[in-house]
Amino acid sequence: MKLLTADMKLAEIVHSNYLLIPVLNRFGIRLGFGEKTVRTVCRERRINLEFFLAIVNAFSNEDFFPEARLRTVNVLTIVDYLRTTHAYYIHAQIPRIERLLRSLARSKSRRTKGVVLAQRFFQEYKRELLAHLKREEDVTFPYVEQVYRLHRSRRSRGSKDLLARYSMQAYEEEHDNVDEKLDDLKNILIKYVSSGPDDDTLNTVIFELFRLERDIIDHTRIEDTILRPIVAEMEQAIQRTAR
Amino acid sequence: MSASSRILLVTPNRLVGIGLKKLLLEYFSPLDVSIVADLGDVPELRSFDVAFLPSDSYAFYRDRFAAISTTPVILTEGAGVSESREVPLTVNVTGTESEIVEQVQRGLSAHRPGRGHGKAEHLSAREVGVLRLVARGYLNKQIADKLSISLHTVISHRKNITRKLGIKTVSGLTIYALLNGLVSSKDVG
Repeated sequence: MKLLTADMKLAEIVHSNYLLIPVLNRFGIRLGFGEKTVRTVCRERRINLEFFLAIVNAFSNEDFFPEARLRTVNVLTIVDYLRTTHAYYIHAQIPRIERLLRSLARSKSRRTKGVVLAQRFFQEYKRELLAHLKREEDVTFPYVEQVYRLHRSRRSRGSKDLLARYSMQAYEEEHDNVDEKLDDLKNILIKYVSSGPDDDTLNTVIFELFRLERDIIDHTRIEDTILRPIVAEMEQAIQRTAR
Repeated sequence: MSASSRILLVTPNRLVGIGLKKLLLEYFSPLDVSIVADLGDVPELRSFDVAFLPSDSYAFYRDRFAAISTTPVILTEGAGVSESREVPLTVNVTGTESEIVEQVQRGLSAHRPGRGHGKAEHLSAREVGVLRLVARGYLNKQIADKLSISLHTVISHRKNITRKLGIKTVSGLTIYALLNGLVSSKDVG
């Protein structure tokens, strides 16, 4: 996969991988950017250029993950990005998959049993995923923001309380893997469910599941390899000041 | 999940090694690929399934291949080298990408005649029995008691079921069991 760079046109980036369109949206970039380059658009929208490039490249290329570069990015920027990806799952991807499954179940083909079961299974997965996202929004992200502020202030007041309540260690332990169910669902739909005449809807469900899975893998990678280590370092620095 | 084939690339030309490795991984994954400059550096040649190597290297080390099952594939420059009568497997490194891919494929398939591929892996009767109980909500320990087998055996059956079906979670396995009539929906509750 070609490396995406600052002086490429944004349109070129989309041509190289159309799955990046929703990722651009997460940065507040909407289609209709004409001939503008990445650099220009990032400047206009006050997007951190390095962060943008790291995210789009890592998204397009599984082997490319510029940890060193990403670690210099402000954690608030990272948390912001992670929040917008959550919103995308909750408000766009999950409802779309639900709609598709509903419409499959409605179609009067002979073998809808599998579809009904798959629908139920997806609901189970959705509950797990939403609980996972909610925990991050309610606990992890606010904690990260507090650690960031405390670290920046170079004061130690309140640090004991903050660090006693939660930690990146605790995050690591609770950050369980929710993609096993998603993988199973894909497998069941691919191997054991027959859609009857409505091939296209079933295909679309499967495409969407693959897309969601890939997005979540990318998301988790950012959390585990970038966010967690940066915040853990801040925690240590705060503890040193407190002593 | 079957163990991937182990491939050895012998070439003093680092760029050829990198290129061939990329090509192998791109077209034939999963594979475990190692690169060395000289076959003399490889103590355990027998642990590899296929070795790609230059003809002079093969000529020099031919005896080492005689006693083992490792398949040698000769890297040649240009088609039709004198060696080709005895060793039919060659890859012409000056060929087009498609030619190279086809020759590499021939080399790889000479060693693994469809091992684990194409053959449907069906669940054994015992595995079906374990799967039924999993779908009905039994825990491993309870399954062991019910079938009078050890917990260890239950776990190994479950691993095999997951490997064969590609389904890891209990909910997923339950759906499989329902769809295939192994349990009825009132069993699962």
